[in-house]
Amino acid sequence: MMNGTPDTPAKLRVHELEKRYGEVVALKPTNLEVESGEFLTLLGPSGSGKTTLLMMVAGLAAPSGGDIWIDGKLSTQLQPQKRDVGVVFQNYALFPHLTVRENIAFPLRMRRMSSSDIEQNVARLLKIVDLEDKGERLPTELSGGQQQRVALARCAVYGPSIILMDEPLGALDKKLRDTMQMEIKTMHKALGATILYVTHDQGEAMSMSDRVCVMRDGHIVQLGSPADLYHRPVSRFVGDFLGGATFLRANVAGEEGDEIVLKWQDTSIIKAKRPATSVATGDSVLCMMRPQNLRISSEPVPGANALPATVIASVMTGTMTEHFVRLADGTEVTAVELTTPGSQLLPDGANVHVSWLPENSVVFAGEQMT
Amino acid sequence: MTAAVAPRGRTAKRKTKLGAPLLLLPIFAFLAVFFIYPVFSILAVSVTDRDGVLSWTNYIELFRGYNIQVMLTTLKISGWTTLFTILLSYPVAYLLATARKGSTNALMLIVLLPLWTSVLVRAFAWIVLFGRNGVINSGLVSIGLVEVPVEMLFTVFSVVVAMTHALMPIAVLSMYSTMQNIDRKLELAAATLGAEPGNAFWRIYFPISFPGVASAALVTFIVSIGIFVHPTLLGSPSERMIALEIIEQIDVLYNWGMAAAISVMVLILSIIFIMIFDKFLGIATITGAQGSGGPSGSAMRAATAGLGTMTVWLSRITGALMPKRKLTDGQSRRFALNVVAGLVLTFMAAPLFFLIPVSFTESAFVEWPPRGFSLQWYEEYFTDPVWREATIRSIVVGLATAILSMLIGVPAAFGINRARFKGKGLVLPYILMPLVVPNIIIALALFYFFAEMQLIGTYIGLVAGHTVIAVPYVVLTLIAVLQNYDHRLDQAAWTLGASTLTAFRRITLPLIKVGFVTSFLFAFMRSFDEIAIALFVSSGLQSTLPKKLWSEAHIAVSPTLAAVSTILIAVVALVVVASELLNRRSAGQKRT
Amino acid sequence: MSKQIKTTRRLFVKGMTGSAVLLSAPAIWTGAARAQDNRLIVGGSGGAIDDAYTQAYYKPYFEETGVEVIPVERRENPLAEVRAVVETQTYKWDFCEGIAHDVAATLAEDGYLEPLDLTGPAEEVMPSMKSETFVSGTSAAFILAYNSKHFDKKMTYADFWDVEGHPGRRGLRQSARETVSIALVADGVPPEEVSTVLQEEAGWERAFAKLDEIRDDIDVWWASSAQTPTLLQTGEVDLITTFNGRAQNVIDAGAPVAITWDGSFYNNYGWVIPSGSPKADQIRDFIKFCCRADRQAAAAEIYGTGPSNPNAIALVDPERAKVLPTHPDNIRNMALLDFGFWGPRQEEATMRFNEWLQG
Repeated sequence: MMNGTPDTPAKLRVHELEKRYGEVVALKPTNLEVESGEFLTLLGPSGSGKTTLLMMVAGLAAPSGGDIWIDGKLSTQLQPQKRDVGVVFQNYALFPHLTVRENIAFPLRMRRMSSSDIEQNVARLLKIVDLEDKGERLPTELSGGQQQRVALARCAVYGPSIILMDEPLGALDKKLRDTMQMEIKTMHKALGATILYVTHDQGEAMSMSDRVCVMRDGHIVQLGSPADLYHRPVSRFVGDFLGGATFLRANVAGEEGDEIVLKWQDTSIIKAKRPATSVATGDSVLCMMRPQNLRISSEPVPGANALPATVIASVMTGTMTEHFVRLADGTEVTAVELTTPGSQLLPDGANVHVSWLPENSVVFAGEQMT
Repeated sequence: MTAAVAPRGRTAKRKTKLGAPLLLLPIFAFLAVFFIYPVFSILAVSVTDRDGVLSWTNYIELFRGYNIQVMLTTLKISGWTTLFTILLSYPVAYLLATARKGSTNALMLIVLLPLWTSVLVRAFAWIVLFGRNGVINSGLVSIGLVEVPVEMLFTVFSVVVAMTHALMPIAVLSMYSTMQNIDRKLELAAATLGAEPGNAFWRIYFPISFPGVASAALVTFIVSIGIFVHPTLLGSPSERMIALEIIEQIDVLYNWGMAAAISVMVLILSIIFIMIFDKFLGIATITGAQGSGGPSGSAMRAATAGLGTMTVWLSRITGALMPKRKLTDGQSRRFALNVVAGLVLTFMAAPLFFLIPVSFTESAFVEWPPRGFSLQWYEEYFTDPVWREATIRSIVVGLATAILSMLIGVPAAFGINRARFKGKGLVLPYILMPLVVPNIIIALALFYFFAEMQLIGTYIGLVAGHTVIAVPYVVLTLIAVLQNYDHRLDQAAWTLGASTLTAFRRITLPLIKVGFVTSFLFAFMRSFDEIAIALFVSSGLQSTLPKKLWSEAHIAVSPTLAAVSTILIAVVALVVVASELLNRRSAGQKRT
Repeated sequence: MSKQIKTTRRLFVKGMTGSAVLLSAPAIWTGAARAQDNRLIVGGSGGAIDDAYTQAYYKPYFEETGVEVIPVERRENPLAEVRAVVETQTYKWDFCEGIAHDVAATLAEDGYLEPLDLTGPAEEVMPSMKSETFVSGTSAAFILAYNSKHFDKKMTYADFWDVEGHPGRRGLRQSARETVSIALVADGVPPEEVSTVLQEEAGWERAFAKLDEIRDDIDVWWASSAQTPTLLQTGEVDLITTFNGRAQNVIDAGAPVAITWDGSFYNNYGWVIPSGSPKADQIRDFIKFCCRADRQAAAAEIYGTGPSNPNAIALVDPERAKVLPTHPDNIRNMALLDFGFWGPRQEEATMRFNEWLQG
């Protein structure tokens, strides 16, 4: 692939893109493709390079190496206003001296659109974001959610090839954030827009995205659908980052068909799916289980892995009932189940067993363990 | 959460609510006695003739050609000064607001050095620079750029340059305070929305920064109207400014009524300008508070948009003309900004340093280049009782002014910040009034008042007069500090068992300490550098240092002046650098 | 006390009683530096004159009596200042040095001056140079000084007006009395007839017409004579009117400057005490001291002005005497300024002159 020329018509294509500040590497050489109409989220803790990547795509930061194609057009050296992108900033960056209508009209005016067209387009967007009666307000006179919608409208009004969003919900409270997630998702569908979204909130990433790109220390660790990442993380980091999990350190004792046999605490045998990387007997590995796959019962469940434990606490939070137990080595484990009329809270200190099916666990070996 | 607030907290809150007007009482009473009453009594004096009889003579006289001409000259010079001050200050303020943290501090030092250095010292520096054989002319002649020295000293040109130089630091700081609050992302957002750099600046950044520009312009203009130092030292008597005319009426013609009538005219003009300003931008913008506004009129909008388009085309043309640019657009713009701001900063800081060599001259004249090397002018300063006492008096008056300003300014700032009561919106304009009345008018008003109270030439008169002009700065600084202070910290302290006083002492005070020190310093420097009031209210052996510097520069031009200036520059440089280091240390502590 | 001050005071005092009580502050604040009694503050002429007088009068007096005399600044023409000092009773200086004879006469007429003690050494002073309230210390001439390297001939007042014939930067005093007078001299009026010509309005018009000719060619309008040595020294001007002592100051420093006496005016400058000055008695003693021949001779040696005590002239070095205005060669073609004429016309002339200056 000479010079990384794309052979598929991706909306966005990033090839060996990197960013260094002197000695500090903000983004290692990275490759990424976003398909037309796709909602792709860059997810990672702060310092993982996700915002750096977004800023370079927007043209607001200059890459130290690599290339960016937008809509098949090499855009690495293009100024932001020449790129066909739209950015929704963390604090919206609404122009405080312009009204809502003028804010939305701004990009059209910059594109020298006729005033009748501008009026028409702005009206259309105001309707989509449900702010038809707020057009003459100044941004400061709107609520946080309304400001967010103005920012979206201002970005969508000129139909950019790709919309970049930098933690756009970071400034909102939890409830509003949930509502806005749905609104963004709905708008995404309504507009058929391609969206590159940055967040550090895994819930937000999973609920909105077609694909999620998990980043860490300036590089991509895993890219896939939310379900892929959740159920088949490639490392402890991804597994942990995408949701609660219990990790047990164990040693490989042998193989049994599709499964491997692990020895935990020299006393218990655990069976699990064979990991992607090859392992040898005696290797130290990590076994990950999601809380909803764990069953707490007084007796071991036959045919499943089972470890004895003591109940610390047991609470009902509404939809879910959560049990907190402690294993023999002191590891604290959380198990959750849907609350049903039959759900029982367990007495503190009760001796119980934690059970799970071998196919519901993931084993990490070697480098994956970090 | 709210339920957790202890009863003590609520009581305290109620107490401040009731106490707010009480907190404002001292400053109200003080300004009523030492500002409002004296200024209004100018009106009374203005309708008396030379013999003290009630008459309209002065007003009839006022509208003769002469006074109108002087007023027009004043407006012309003030207008040019304001224009240049704003044009030159903007890039510096912009650079300060957009530079990285580390370089901001260094740049700030360059702005602060001239700000804290006496206005007189800076005016005096221009005499050395602009002289027929001064620094600039001897430079121009020696490199062969001109054959005959250019006439600069004693022209309108030298007055406008020196006044611009004098007023720039305040203008820079005032614009900077507005620009600091502008979200840097807005320009980026505009760029992603398709605005080319010129457009992004003129349509977005400039309109948002405009209230800061406008309030800086208003303050510059009003201060310019009241300036007499520069026109006297550097100007031509045939281009007389109004402040000098007022002084002349008192000092030479002994016509108090006429001086008062002229002052009334200046006052009315100032009020008209302020009202125009208020109509378009709202007077609150003077405080640097970020209004929602920006220029609201469509004409203004069109003008800034036009500028944007123009810049875009210009940059396209230059882009087309320049064959291959190595720098990206952004880099070259930044480079241009750095060059412009660098030149302006040099203009701000450099003139001062030419006084230093002059102070070591052996000759008895202020001349360039200085002759030989001698310390006699320093000896003169340190041995002459008049210089010594003037210095001590200025320090004492400065400290007393700062203390008095804090005593009435601190409660006022808290009162304004915390209180919710009717008429609160009028309180701040009342306190800030001395800022928008030319100093010469305040000085004249106090002169009449103090003459009556037998307070001319007394410490009390000087300190009260200086407090009138210093206290608005104290209140402004403290309000800004308090606005950034999170009152939930106090509430937290109350719930944790601290009394109101303890919470103030242990929580509030340590957090706003820097603001306190800053306003104290500000008040001190306002007094230490004040000349108009000192001119009328102190004299002879009761002279303050600026007054002595003034008479030295005006009446007896000797290199002692350069020596004293050098000492002042050195002290100011030390203080500025020390406070900067202190700031850095406290910032460091905050980080850890 | 004049009517003005009383009226304004009435206007002020209305409704002021409250704050007045509030403000009757402790003496420590209002008293300021008044406390020291062995100290006399004199409103001086500034610059080299203060330095010369410190050597000739102030220091020797301190050594003899232990009373310190300290010069501080005053206006070039302190007419209004003396009035303000007396009327507001705020004695920013205890007495005044270098007051022109005409100014002193005007002040005395309105009762602003204390009588002096004219016994002892003061008796030796020439009768034309003293009055009940004024004793001249010196005669000083208001002359034309020019850069002798720039001009190769002796400059006259007519030459001053000949801008094309004698190019060079010119300076004039920002003051009606001298500037109007020399305009007439340049126009051919003999100096002693100037005040006669100015009795008529036509004379004023003639003077201002003459000044119109040169207005645009004046590079510096000086306000304080102490500025003029620096202006000459730094080459800011080539040709300027100033007092002979100021010019002598630069000549003594080695600058190529020459003085034109012919057609100039001289005036007497001396000591006055504002009415009610709290230290009047001490000052009277000091002024007598200043009339001593030896002291005046010392002053003339340092600073080029003519003594008022004729006995002093004999004590001055003959070479030095040549540059004093009272030297026969110098005084021959000069006229004494007509203080009887100028005194009452000061203010009106000032306003008219200022207006002319604005164009």
